[in-house]
Amino acid sequence: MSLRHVLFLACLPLAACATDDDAHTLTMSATLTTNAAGELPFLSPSATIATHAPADVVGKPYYVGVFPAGFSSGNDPALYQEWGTVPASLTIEATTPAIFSKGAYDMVLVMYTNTPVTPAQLAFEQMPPAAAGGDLSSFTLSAADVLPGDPDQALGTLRMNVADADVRVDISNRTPTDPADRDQTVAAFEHTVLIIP
Amino acid sequence: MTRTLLAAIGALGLAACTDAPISTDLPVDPATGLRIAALPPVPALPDWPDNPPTEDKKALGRMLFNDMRLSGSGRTVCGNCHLQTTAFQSGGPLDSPDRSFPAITPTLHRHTPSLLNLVYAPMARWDGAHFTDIPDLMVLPFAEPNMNLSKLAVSAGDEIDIPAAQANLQRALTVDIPGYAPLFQQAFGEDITTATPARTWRLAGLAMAVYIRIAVSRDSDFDAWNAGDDAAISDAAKRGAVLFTGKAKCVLCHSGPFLSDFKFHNVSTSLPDASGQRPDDGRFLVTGVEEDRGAFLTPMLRSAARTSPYLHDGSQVSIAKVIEHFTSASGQADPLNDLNLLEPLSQGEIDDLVQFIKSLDGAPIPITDLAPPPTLP
Repeated sequence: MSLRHVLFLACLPLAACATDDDAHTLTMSATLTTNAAGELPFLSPSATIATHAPADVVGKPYYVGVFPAGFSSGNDPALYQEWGTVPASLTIEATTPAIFSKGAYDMVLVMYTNTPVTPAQLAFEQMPPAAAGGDLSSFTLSAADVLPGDPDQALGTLRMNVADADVRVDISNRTPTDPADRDQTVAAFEHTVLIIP
Repeated sequence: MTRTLLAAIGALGLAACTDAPISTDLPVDPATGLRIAALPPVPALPDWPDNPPTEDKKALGRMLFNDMRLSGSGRTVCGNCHLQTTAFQSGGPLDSPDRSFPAITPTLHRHTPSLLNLVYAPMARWDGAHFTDIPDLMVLPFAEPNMNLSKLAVSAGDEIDIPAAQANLQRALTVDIPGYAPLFQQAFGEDITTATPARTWRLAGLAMAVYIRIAVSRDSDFDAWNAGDDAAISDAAKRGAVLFTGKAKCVLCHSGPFLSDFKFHNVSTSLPDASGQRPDDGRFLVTGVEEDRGAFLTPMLRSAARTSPYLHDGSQVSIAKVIEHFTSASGQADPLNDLNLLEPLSQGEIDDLVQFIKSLDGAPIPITDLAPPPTLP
């Protein structure tokens, strides 16, 4: 059972938020699977593969945030954010309240497997720490979800385009079966969980 | 010397500013074509007559930047920490360049700086160590054992061994991966199989320097406003620009087209403990000058909103937190600090400064330039 701390910011005068029938939820689901050795493999930015033992991930805090598209990491406030704990099932499913109107948003998931998180950060009194070596982050390589005229995605985020329905994205710790296969490697960078160098 | 300069400027009356409403109705000076001459636009790329940029050199440099076969483990590259798609930095406070190690080591003890606008820099690295010119800087990490980029013993940590690294790189580029020699021949007209290791090292640096010319942050919204476009930035950003060059005194160090004086300052980010020991002695490690303890290079600020976290140790997550540090008692706690002239700012003023710095985001770099090389030799 994951423990969640949620900060619902829709009460702020944020133009991006809505409270009527045009408002929708955003969901990010992350599933971590082990390899044959029972380890969790992750791609690094340079396409190398590093592993964590499941025990090093389970029970660690994770952060989910939704930001205006193209936000400045560390410098723009989240429209919605929550903390949780990575469950033994190694599957995280974070769904926001139905507050997002039509538009583009960037959603990020960080699992702090290595960086300590303070009580003040968990209570949203301080910003989450910067992810450091060994931590895990949502990531996708291509800009295929960035609509023409919209800002670029920020580091470690997935673009969520709200039109007239709730939006869901699934990510997993994808790695290439054959690391020497460039096409496989590039494909594994899509909707993946990346290890921070 | 720096402190003397700051004191002298402070005595000119800048500190006399008050919290009165800030006028952002700055006229464009006909002489400069700018509203704020202290923050001019980024100039054209340098010419480098001794190393004329060519597509062949750029392509070769791109390969060297991204070829993990050159590394000690065969599993790391420059782009592992200087991610091309994220402002040529990693977004983390302290990086572990080689993720193939079983533990999270070696972890660097300083934050990976962005490489944006490095081609213009007359000084680089947090303490300026080993800086001579951009080509040497680009290839230097191959000689840093804890980067594990060129088969040096990682256990050597920070002990740079350039001759050994040059021999390793020469062997890698001529014996281990013979396909590189024709590319050097094509780019420079030189045969690296008969060149000295030092010459091959230099040519590699020259190619990587040409490649990194893609990493430029320029043509920001602020530049448009500074040149006369009233609607280019928000009122908050305009107020921030005025504060930056006025009351907040940021411009004392963050000046010029890159918003850096490229000098070293103590801004109380590596405080001495009771015994006088600091976590990082900074510039002192290079100069041995006592006054340089805890001093670090002024970072450039263009696209800084894309390079969180901040400071030499990546200890501040946001620009606002950096400004709060600079203007608080903790920011002036170091007996050698350079910030003793700064005064507290209101939250609104800090917010305005953040909006100004966000307006320094450069125009996007073409994704075709940022992508890894399509092939390697």
